[in-house]
Amino acid sequence: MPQKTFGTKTVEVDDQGFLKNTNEWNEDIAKLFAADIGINELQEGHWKVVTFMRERFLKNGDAPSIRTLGKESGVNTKELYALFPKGPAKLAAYVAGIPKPRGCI
Amino acid sequence: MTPLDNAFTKPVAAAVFKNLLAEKNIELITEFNTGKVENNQIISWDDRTVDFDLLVTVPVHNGAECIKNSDIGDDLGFVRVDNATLQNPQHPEIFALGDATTVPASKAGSVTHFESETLQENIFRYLSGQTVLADFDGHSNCFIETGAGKAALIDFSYEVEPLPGNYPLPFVGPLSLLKVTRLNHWGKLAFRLVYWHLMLPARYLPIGRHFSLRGKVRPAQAKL
Repeated sequence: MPQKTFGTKTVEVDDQGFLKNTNEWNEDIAKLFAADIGINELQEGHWKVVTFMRERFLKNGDAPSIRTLGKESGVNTKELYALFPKGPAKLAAYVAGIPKPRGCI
Repeated sequence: MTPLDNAFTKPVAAAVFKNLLAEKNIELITEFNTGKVENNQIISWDDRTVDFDLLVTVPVHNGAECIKNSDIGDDLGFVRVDNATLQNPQHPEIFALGDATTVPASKAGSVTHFESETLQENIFRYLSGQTVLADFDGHSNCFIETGAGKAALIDFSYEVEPLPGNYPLPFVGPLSLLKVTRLNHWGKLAFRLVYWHLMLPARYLPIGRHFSLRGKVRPAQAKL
C-alpha cells in the first residue's frame, strides 16, 4: 500500500495519492495535503469547499461535480478556480481526504 | 484543450497519444476548463486565453434530467450501480448498463455489449431469487481514428489501463493495441459488418466479455 509522509506523519494513500481511509481525516491532515499541492494557508473559502465536499461524499458515496460545487457549496465557480487552481474538484477532494472524483475514462 | 491533466487519463496511453498529437503538430493544453467563449477566444475559468478560427467543443456528458431529479442517480444524472453487478445499491430491482451508469468504464458501445451479458444473467438471477453475479470487470475497447487511413485501438478494464499488444487474438492480432496502423483502420471498417451481421442478430462472436492480459505487454513505467 502506498504511503505519504509529511514530516513525522505518515498516512496510507490510494494509487492516485489520495487519502486511503477517509475516517483518518482531520484538519491537520487537510493542512498537510493542502501544503503538498502548494496551498500554504487554508482560508475560509477553502474550508467551505472542503467541508461541503466531505459532507456530500459521506452522504452519497461520491464526490460532487464541479457544477454542483459552483451552484451549491456557497463558493462560485470563478472563486473555486482561484482557491484551487486548474482542478477545483480534484484538488478539493485531495485536501478533503476523499477519493479522486471520477472523471471520464 | 482538455480538462484532463494529459492526453488520456492513464499514463501508458497518455504518453502514446501525446506523441501522436506532437507528430501531427497539434498543441495540447491540459487542465483547461472553458469558462466562456468571446471574440474568437476561449477563456478558461482561471483566465487563460486561446485564440481560435474554428471552434469544435464537446459538451459535458450528462445523464437524463429525470435521473438527476430522482434518488437513483449521481450529480450528472448517471444511474448509480455496483461496478461488478450493475445493480442499483438502494433499489435492487433497478439495473442499468451503457452510458446511463456511473461505472468508471468508457462510455463506449463495447462496454454496453460486454455489460449486457452480465446484466441479462443478473436480471434472471434476481427474478428467481438467486444472488446476482459480481461479474463485470470494466472491459472496454475502442478504435481511435487517427486520420490518413490509420487508426489506433485500446483495450482495458477497471484494473488494467490500455497497454500495447494484440487483439482480439493474443500474440496474433491481427489488430495492434496502442499503435497506429492501417490494419486497425480496416478493422474499424470491418466492424460495421460485424456489428450488423454478427452482433445484432446475436450470432457467435469469438470475443469474450472479460478482459484478458494475454498478449499484452506492460511497459516498465506502467503501474497498475
